[in-house]
Amino acid sequence: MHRTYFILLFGWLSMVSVAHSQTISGFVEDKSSGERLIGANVFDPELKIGTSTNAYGFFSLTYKNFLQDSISLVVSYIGYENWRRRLVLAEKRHIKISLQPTAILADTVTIEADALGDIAEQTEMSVVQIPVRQLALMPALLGEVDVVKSLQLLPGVQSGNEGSSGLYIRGGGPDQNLILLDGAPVYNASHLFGFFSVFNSDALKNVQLTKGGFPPRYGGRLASVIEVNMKEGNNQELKGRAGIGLVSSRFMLEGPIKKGTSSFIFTGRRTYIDLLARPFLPDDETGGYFFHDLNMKLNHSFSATHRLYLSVYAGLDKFYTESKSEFSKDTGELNWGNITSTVRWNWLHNQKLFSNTLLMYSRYRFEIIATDEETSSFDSVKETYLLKHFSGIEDYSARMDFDFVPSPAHYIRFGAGSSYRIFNPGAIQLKEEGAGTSLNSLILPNARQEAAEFNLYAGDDVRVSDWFKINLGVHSALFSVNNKQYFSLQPRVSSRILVGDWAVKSSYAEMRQNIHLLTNTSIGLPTDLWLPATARVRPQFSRQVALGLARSFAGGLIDFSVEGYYKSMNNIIEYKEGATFIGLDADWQDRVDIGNGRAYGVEFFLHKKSGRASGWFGYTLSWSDRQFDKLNFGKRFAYRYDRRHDIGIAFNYRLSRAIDFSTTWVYGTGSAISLPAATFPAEKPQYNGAFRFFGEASHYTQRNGVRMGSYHRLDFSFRFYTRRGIDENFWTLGLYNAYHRQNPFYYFRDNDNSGNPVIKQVSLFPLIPAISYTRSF
Amino acid sequence: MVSQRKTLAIFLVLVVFSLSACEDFWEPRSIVTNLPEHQPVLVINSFINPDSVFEVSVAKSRAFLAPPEYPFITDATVTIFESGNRVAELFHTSDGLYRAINHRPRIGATYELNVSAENFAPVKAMVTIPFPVKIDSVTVGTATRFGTNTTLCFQDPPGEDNYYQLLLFTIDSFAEMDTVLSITYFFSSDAVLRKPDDFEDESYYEDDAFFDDALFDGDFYDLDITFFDYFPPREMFVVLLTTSESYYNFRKSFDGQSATEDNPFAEPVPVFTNIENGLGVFAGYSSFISSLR
Repeated sequence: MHRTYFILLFGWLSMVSVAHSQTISGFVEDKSSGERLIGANVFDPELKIGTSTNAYGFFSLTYKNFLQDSISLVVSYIGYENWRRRLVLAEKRHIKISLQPTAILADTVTIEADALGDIAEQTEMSVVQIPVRQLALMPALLGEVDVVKSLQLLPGVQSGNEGSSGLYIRGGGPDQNLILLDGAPVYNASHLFGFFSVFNSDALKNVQLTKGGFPPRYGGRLASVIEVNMKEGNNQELKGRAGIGLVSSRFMLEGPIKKGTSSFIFTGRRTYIDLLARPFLPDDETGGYFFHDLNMKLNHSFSATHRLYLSVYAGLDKFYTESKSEFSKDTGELNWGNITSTVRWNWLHNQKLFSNTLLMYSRYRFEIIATDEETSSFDSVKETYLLKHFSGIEDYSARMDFDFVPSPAHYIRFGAGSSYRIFNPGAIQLKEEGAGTSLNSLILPNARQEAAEFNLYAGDDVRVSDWFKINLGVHSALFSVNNKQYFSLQPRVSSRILVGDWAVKSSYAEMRQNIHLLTNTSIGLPTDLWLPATARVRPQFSRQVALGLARSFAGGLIDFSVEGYYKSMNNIIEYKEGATFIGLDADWQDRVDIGNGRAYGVEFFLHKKSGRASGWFGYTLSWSDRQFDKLNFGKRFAYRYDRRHDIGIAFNYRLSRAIDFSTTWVYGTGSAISLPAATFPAEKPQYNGAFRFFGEASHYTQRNGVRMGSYHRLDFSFRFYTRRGIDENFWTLGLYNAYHRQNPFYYFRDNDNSGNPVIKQVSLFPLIPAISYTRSF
Repeated sequence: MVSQRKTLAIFLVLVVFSLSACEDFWEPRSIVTNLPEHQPVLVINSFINPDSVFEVSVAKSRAFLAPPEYPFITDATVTIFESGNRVAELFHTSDGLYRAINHRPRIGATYELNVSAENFAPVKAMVTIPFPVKIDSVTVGTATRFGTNTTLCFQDPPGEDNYYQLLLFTIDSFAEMDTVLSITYFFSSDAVLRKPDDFEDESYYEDDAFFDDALFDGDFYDLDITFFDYFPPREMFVVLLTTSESYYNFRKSFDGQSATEDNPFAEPVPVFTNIENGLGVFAGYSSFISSLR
């Protein structure tokens, strides 16, 4: 068996090694700030070969059997002027390419006419990459630009409840998305019950969503991988930006530490409803809510081949109350938040081999603290009482990823990683001190658990011929928890066949998720708990096949794709009926049911990436259901967010030099909810002559058998520039829910004026105007 | 080119225009939705025990949005069988309550209930009366301001699933009235009784507590509870019921449904039923009483 592997390995190595070749490699960056550009197109129009930059702006292009002394190279990226040079290969084999941002009013330059454009060139499918500068133009709830919510406008991506930043991707739940901030997983990506995400758009550079056809390097979640990259910081000059809005203020400062080689960026955001409300509260009571986010990133180039990045994110949500009188003081606090930090080291070993080493720490923590202090008016003895509940997860990880580009026919990625996670499903601390009593006890109904995971992956993107490319690979994971090991080999295949200008793509991916999220509600609550798979509650597992067509138009300016997918999901969990959310039970495993799910559908996506008018149209026709032996009498039932039709339209238009207009419209079939078919009297025994008890019970015949009304909403915003260019100052005026649609938030039973029972609908957000001002310096 | 001033003016007109329609936005409004269809069925509520004659409440269900009406069925035929033999015919007393003249269930016996009424599909159900479990000892601690800690010791029958219900009663005597029996509240931090969702280290029971023997099957178990004495102290006693599984499931699910019905985001809990072609429960229990004070 081993011999077979070796033969295969050597065969493959001999296939990928190339004699008489010339390689050009380099980094692509923004000329004004030195920011490395992700996914920039590098193309030789004469030989019609090309590649694109990786997550660190690196590319490598090898010319096979090449005898000429020079090549022609065009580098293009949305929002930047094309870079075009004839290069003498012997002279410059490793280059730094600086792209000039496009002039404001110039209509966009198009990608080289011969280039296929990203979408038709790439083997990968089900991937959407949107520059943050495009997402940031979108109108937003209360003016808070939110990249995660902008992703909800993409086909295959659905929002949950109104206003929620949860992402439901191809029929999966928000727990099945791996959200990586500079490589570190963010375990709870929402603020204020999901109305805002934790990502401050000022700090971000790029967002990439992968919802299927997962390349081998990804693993750990069933539904999607969302890679969010923070800006590196301007390494040319000191820049700043401050914004003030209805809900929050933001601040960003970036600049070189040593010009051209090291830079920093620091951003902060804080909401201030609590501060504004404080003057209106009674003297003896304070309270409120706020959240803040801090992002910091440092990077330093030690040489052309070594670069180090340090990224830190810290966010906190806090509810607090305090009331005091002469003899007592009560305080209450709910705190939750993430901390992530990563150290990454880019090493360009040679022109064909690039590596990134990552050390990462991520923590999510939720705590409730209640204190009570009373002083006896009689003898002045003070008694204090403290109750503290905390839960959360910690993750320490390390990984190494390699990009090896031996020839234009191969792009090999391989790597290894390990992570060590600590799960704290909930602990209570009680402390009491005072007249003769002293108590300090810690209650741990669910023991803290530790789990280790190791991953290895390898994959090769093979250009078999001009019309056929295939990406073959495997991702393996070994998960170990409480002396129980789970090993998995997850094959990943995707291919692209060119038929004229159309790319026919197909993919198959298996994914395994070794952690579960316990959540009973459809809104993202801070009490949601992450827990490891156990011997009883096994890892989640999915298989997804997808088939699609893709094509670029107008020289790569417009992308069109249509994709069909089918996904099966196994070992997914749901809380048992009636179990509630705080995980303090003797054993959480007794509180969940295990079942399966499936999702299938078709997605259409038309995307104009830049220009005076830009935006996209997305339509999804989909089905998603679940089957649990112990729910709904074992019969399949619609997933709550099973959405037959989903439309997302985003449109940006430059009205004039000083005004930008942006609008979005969303439409979605209503959520599937459970409403009773009937009610009936329920009684209790009459013990020894006690009164007869009458209650009313509801009779459910079908879980999620009722559809809420459809959801649709139009938002728009205007940006009025008082100064435009790299240092921009502008006012943003926006309208959320512009035609004041009463969208369903939830239903309940009530009586009408004549006492007859009716179903009533509650709506959440009416038309909400927003205003903010942003100033750069 | 569009001027900033003109765009701003259009924007503001839109805002003012739309805000004028804002007043009733949050007022819940009636909507029409296609609920699952429902044909009314017979609803049984019956909790038979050896201390009382057979008693069955018969009512009907109504579609979720049907107007409220008197729910009880007064002209049903209610029959109890044991091993295929008719044991008792029950007669209507009031408000859908049917009672046997003098037949009482026997401990350990299995009964089948048949109920039929005009315009409804006939329903049937079965239950076995469980054996009572004796409280071997009651240890009452000293009363403090944190209550009186009490330990009840009993032995769980081994090798079978047992379901329990615990109640505390006080007897109030009034000069001008008969004695009045009232259910009283208690607390417990016992692993068996602690509610999973309580933040506190002990759970509060307003009337009764349900539990099964999953944690102590076949063992002697010391169950700890805390009650509060009245002042002046009154006569109190504790009742340990052994119940049929149907009773346990019915009450657990009904309490679960009641607890989540106001939360529009929680998945609702269906209420357990063991009534074939109908709804409700046909349950049995037997009890053991012990004095506390």
